[in-house]
Amino acid sequence: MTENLKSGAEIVADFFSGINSLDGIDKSIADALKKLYADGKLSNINISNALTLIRKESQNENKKH
Amino acid sequence: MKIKNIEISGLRGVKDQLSLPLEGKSMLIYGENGSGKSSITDGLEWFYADEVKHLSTGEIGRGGIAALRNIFLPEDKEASVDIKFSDNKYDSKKRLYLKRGVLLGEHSNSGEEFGQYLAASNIKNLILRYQALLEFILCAKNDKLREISLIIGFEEVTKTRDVLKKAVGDLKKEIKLRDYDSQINAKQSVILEQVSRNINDDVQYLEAISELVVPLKLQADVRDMESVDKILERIKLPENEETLKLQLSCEKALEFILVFAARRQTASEIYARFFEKYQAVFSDKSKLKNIALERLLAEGLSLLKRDDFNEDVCPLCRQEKNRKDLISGLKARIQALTAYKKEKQELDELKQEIVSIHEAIGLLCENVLREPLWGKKENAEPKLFIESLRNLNSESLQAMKTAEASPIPPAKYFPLDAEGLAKLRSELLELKQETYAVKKDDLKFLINNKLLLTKTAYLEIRTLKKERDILSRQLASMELMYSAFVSKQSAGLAAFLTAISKDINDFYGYMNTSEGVDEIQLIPIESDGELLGLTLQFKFHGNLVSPPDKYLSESHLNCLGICLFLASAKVFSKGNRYFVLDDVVSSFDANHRLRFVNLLLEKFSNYQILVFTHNTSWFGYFANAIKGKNWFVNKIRWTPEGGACLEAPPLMDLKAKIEAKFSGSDPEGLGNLTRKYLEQLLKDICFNLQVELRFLYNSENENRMSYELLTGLKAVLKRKKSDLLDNSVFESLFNSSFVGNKESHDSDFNATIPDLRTFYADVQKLEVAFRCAHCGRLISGRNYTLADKKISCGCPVGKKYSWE
Repeated sequence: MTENLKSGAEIVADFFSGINSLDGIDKSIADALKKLYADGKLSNINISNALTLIRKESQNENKKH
Repeated sequence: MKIKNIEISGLRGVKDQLSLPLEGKSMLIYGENGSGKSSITDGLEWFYADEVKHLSTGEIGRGGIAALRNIFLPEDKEASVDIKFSDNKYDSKKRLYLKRGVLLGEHSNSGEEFGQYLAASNIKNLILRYQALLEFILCAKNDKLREISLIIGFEEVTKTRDVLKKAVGDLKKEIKLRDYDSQINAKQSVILEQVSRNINDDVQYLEAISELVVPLKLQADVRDMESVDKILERIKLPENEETLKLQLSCEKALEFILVFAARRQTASEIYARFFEKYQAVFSDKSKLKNIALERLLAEGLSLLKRDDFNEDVCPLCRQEKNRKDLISGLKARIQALTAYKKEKQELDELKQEIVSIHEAIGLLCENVLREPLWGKKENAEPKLFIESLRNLNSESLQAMKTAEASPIPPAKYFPLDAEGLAKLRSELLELKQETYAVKKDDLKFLINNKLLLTKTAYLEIRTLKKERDILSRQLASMELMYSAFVSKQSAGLAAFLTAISKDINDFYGYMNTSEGVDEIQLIPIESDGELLGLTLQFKFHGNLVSPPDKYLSESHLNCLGICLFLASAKVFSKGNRYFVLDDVVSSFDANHRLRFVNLLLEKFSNYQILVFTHNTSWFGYFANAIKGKNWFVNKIRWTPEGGACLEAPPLMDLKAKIEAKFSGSDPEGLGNLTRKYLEQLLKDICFNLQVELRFLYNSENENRMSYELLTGLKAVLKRKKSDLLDNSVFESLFNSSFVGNKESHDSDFNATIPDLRTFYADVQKLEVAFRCAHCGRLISGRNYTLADKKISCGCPVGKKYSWE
């Protein structure tokens, strides 16, 4: 049983590897957070910047349509 | 993975080199307090963690590294910990050296796999020290969660959860700050005024525009957004341009009034909360001052937890004070300060929120003041009023920034000039009417004006809604992500707590039979889906109780601490198959000590256990229990010359030292080294051949001399009619002036290098006779073959000697 127990680092890694399969999650946000985690840059400033960038891209997309 | 060899030099109490050639074997080391046992543990901790936590006080700093180097070590010499593992790709030597006065640490192994191994090896699962035993058991529920988090590496989970939680909070604040509803409502009222209906989508918009242009009989098909632009182009007249621009500007100013009032209201509401919290936080200004003391108190607590401050005296004022009371008093003060700091942090967050609203209002004022409306002289008065609003906002922002010094009461904060705003509104409406009055018969102008205002308001609403929808979708995604993460965390923690609780219960039950304690469990405490802490509960004589320190003695609490460590080491020392127990049985009674040894031998037989103790009787019992189990048993002592060293250094170590002295023709201390080598060799031979000597108490056995051992060995060889006795080396050694009693060790004897070479040659001859050249093992009574009545080292090509 103990072999199946996960350490904290494994739990976080597992979560981010399966983040895209969460129901109702915006794919671009999931990808951005996954990348920040993989690069070891998951901080609030970086998340805020990534979300702002995604919003700008979405607004530009909307303007095109 | 197990440890093959540890070599420590120049660290803490170890001045020269200290070698532990374990070859994967478990180890038991006895040493008095101050002998240097913990120098080995410190070296191991630094090897993995780049710090030595118990040395990491504010005074020492740098994670205790500043105290790691042996103080007698010359500046140009580096200290090091060299560990060789059963898998040699993880072997590494970590050097500690001075570079321009700065202490630097560096591993010789720079491989990626080694880096991953270091990162995955949690020191909390590898080393247990006495002072850490009770930390978990006695700490508060939130500290328990923190401690467990450290043990199982959950701090990364907590950190990630906090980041996700804050990201959700930031998005909520951003949506609130943008105040989409009041902006959209202001624009809807413009639409309502122009087309007498609300417009919520493109279809309604196009319908409204179609109806609006009917009187112009344009015969235009309003089917899309572009057709609206085309109509505007068709009805545009150059003489109407200026008036239309002013009308639009007027509408913007009217919208400003609505949005300004709504944002001011939000700022006032948050300010009221801020003021209330301020009263609570600043009611006792001494508390604020005390925040600065938190570090000092934490430092004091960590100092008191150390073994070397175990008197009932306050180390600061030297007044008599019960150490336990002092520790619990400090903990309570730190806990109160932590709660106070949290309140202060919330106050700062409210302040930041209000500052952001003021900044947004400032921007709103600047934008409206840029409207062409204010270019006209007759509009100077309303412009002045808007400027006064801007200034009031700036003053309130300034007051907010200095709010901590003297906050103004909510009633006086950012006062609303309702009359002034109403007057501005009526002036703007009047201005609109005046323009309309001039053009009231110009149908084209009127429709153009309505169309332009409706289009501008609707398109702005569309943009605002899109922005709001994107932000709301982001918020929904982040909330989902956060809640999925919390579920994952809870599931991971629950699985761990169930497994570890079972092991703790088993181990505790093993060490404490029939004492009424059962079903020990670590239980998470949650509120609103938030994990607040952990509690340790158990059945005590049939009743479910908590916390343990209310019901158990110090000895039992220590036992619980050990069980927790062993359970977590079992679960989480994944790559490592070893752990260190540094002086952990100090407060155990005899029964617990004995059961603890049995528990280790029974439940952890496949682990490499490194045990240090200063307890003579426990060492004796332990040493006896592991006889024949292939443990590395030794004693450590501290000497002014070499610092911490093993009392009976490993033969390989001694051999290297002896040979280095011969090659340097340095006779100093060579006689003693060779004598020690002979003694150690004879002890190993006698042990293997079950040579019986007169009874001595256990610790005295370590002091047996060569002459006594040689005599005993010769007697056994004679009794067994072994051909080993024919070896002339016995005669040479008995006649040697180096083989004597204990006193001769320190006697002045001016031996020359040739004398010493002769003695060492005899010692080597003895070793050649008893040690197999192929397998390296000594001959042993365990490898006796009845058929030919011979003993051997056990390998098929090794020497055999008669043994009757």
